[in-house]
Amino acid sequence: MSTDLIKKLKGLKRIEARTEWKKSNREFLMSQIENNLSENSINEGWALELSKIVFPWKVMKLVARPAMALVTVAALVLGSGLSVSASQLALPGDALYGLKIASEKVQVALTFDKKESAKMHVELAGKRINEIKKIKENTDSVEKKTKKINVAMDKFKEEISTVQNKLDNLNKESSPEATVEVAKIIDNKTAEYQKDLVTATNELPTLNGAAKNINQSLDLADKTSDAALALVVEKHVQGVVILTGESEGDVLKRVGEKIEIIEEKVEAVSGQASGLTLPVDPAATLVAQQTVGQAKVVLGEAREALNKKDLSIALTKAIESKELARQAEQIATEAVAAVPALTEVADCGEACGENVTEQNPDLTDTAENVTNTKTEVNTNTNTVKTYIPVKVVTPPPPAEPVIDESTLKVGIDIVQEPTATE
Amino acid sequence: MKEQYLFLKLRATRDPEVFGKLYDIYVDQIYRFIYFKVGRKEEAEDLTGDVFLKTWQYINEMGSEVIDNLRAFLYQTARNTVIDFYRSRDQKEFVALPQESDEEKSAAVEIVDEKQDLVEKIELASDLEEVKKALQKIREEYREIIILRFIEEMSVKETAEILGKSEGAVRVLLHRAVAALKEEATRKVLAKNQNYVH
Repeated sequence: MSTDLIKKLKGLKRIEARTEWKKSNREFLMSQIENNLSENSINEGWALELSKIVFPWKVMKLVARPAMALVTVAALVLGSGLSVSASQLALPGDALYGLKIASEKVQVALTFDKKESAKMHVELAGKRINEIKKIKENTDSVEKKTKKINVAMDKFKEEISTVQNKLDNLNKESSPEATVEVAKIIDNKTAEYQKDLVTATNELPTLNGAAKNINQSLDLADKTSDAALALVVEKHVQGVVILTGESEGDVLKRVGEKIEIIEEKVEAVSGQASGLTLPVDPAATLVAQQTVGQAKVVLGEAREALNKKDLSIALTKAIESKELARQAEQIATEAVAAVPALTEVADCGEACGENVTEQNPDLTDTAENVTNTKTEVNTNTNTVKTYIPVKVVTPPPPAEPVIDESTLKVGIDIVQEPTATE
Repeated sequence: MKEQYLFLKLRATRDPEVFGKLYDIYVDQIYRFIYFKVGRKEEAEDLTGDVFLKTWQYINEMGSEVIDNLRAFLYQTARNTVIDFYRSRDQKEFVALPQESDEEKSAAVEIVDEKQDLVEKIELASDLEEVKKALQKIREEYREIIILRFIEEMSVKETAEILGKSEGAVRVLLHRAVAALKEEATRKVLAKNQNYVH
């Protein structure tokens, strides 16, 4: 083939479509896609069906494209109706709550910008926290409140998970600046949410049914916050975000604050671990105390790194320390839970119905002596009895109190041994 | 390759923005492909729009996992769309459409290289016009394969996939196509010369 011909053929590659046509066609295509997506996300029947009839895609070409895009959006809005704004105040369990969630989903579906989408999910997580605050103030029964809080918590967890995913995607696909911007928002907000959540639920100590959910939510928020801050640090260290004095100061401050929060946690767990005494398993106690000791050491390393402005190491160590503290806490909590309930005040065992307010004569009923315990080992039965002097809730004396002195017990013991003295 | 990355992203996320970016990458080549087949700008524009819309519909309904190679899919859709177009107009593919006026021609051919001066542009335009004419004269299947291999610079493998042929068949076809085009181009030159002589 002659080179001339090849050259000319290759020249044909320079033919392109008209720029204005490309632009308007693209807009048309995008509005079509939006139409498609909104069909999938709203379950509102009539707007969807109407738009299918009115705008079959082949006919679209005849309609002025910008106008068509506007009409599609109008159909979407009308479909949800004016009640959307009223539903914003709805709480789980309310009639309009479903609509509130649905309208949020529409907003999400129409947000194509990745950054805005991530921010939106952070906001939605915040809405769930607000709902919990309001539920707390309700006059509902504890049971109802628990149910409602569980609903809100489930949705909160969903939003936070999505936030995490969106941040990961942003990191892979968007500019570092956008990623850092969103990561900072996430870092700020999740800290806020955790505080709010703890406050709201601390004031509701009877909400045992929601406790697990709340803890999971706190955990998830915590992990997301860590991940977000790690990204900020990473981008900063890589130098992909402009290193102004201000921005460095900001990152240092964030890492510093995180270290402080973790320090509080480590201290709290340390207190918990050192408060462990018999009958809690001494082996477990030791492990818990050692682990929290390790946590303190690592946290010290984190502080050192921060002073040297070694941000990645500081953050990594801080998170490591937090993990260690968590583990120590878990060991301690499990060890305490494993101990049979010796200190249940209301349980007076077989002695119930009789007056058993007598306490160990060796110990006086003062606050200081409450921690004193007496341990008795019975080698015959291989039991270890620990007597912990506590005030017994005295059951009402029977009508005819016939007290058999031989049945009076010292303190409280699990294994009742009737000692007949007569 | 950026296109591969974007397509994988599209498969994972079905993000319309991603589809938009892929549109930006492929729109010109699909337009070109169709334009050489139908010869007129307006039809080429409409049909190109159809191709992308159909592709999105397909992805949306079937899931993008069913598409292995987006580029090949787009070209295959383009071929089918042109075939449907001709069928609906009750015409055979090979029958050329009424020739465009000169105005229409220059409007359709947007040569992107703005650095060139006017004289060069005119020369280039007439060269292109020549080749384009020669291309129009040969068989559809020859035209197709030349477009894919020489204008779009696709590999034999990709070309085979789009045309639904074996690689061997593609090579043979290409050889014949080139011969035909060469003949057509030479014939025009001879004809021109003859005109001058007589």
